[in-house]
Amino acid sequence: MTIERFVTQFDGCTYCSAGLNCTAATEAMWLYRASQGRVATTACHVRSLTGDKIDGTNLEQAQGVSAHYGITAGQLWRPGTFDALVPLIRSGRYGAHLQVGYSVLANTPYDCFEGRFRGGHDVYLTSGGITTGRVGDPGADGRRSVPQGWQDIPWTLLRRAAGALPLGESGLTLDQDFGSGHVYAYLTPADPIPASSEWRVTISVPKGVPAVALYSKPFVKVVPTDTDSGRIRSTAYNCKRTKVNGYWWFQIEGSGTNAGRYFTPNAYTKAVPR
Amino acid sequence: MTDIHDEPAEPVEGYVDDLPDEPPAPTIPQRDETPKNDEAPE
Repeated sequence: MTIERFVTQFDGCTYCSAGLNCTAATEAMWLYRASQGRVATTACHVRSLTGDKIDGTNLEQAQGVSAHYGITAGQLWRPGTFDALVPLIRSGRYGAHLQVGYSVLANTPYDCFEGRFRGGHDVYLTSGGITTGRVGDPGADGRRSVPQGWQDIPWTLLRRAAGALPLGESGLTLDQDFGSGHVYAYLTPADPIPASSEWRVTISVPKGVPAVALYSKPFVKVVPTDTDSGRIRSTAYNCKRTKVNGYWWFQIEGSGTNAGRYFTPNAYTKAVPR
Repeated sequence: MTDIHDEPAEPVEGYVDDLPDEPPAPTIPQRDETPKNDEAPE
């Protein structure tokens, strides 16, 4: 499950205008993910840590706030490519700041500023699917008719928004400077993969397909006997999951015949964390 | 008698376990600084 916490930029900040704090709010969301839930803070507090009350802030300042919390393994792309970013987000192991030009999002269903903003903005990407990325837009606080919280936004739209990022007063965009398909982004360190974790696994194999093979230990199959086929077609087990030599293994818990035995995940096993 | 595992295992949904533990660095020449965000209306 993704560790995520939506943070709005409109938090009543008196340090500076809250309208300037999208990067600070996004950094608060980034910090929550990068710290695995240990750092839960606000846009205003992040902004105060920059020591900068003038205008907006950039990803280098966000990086400085990360370092304040001892998190230095994030990766700043200035730029990287959108095609490289999407699979990393979809993997479920990374979140990212994504700088965008809001002209592309204005007047879409995802617009958090009611058509009144077309400038440079910063949003947080927490996860994604095949066609959409799950976005925390710091403006999405539910005021009036504005969206509230996380939004699933098409990758195609996010790609265009990333390319429309204004780079300065001249109006030059990222697309115009580098060509399409580039992003300014700041990725979290990868979420850790637990060495062992607890799952409820349901096995359901249709007729005509070999049942799931059981192993006495990883890579060593149970030898079938007259009373023990060494395979399972339909049942559910509490299991521990472990990685051995690059493969995931479920070890069956409990006291039944198959307790202590192993199997590997496949198309006919459905695993849910316990 | 033992039998070596011969069925390819698929990654558990939600994780891609062969990705690096650190996000990869971009290979494109990098700029000195990213732009500051603009002020958005409340």
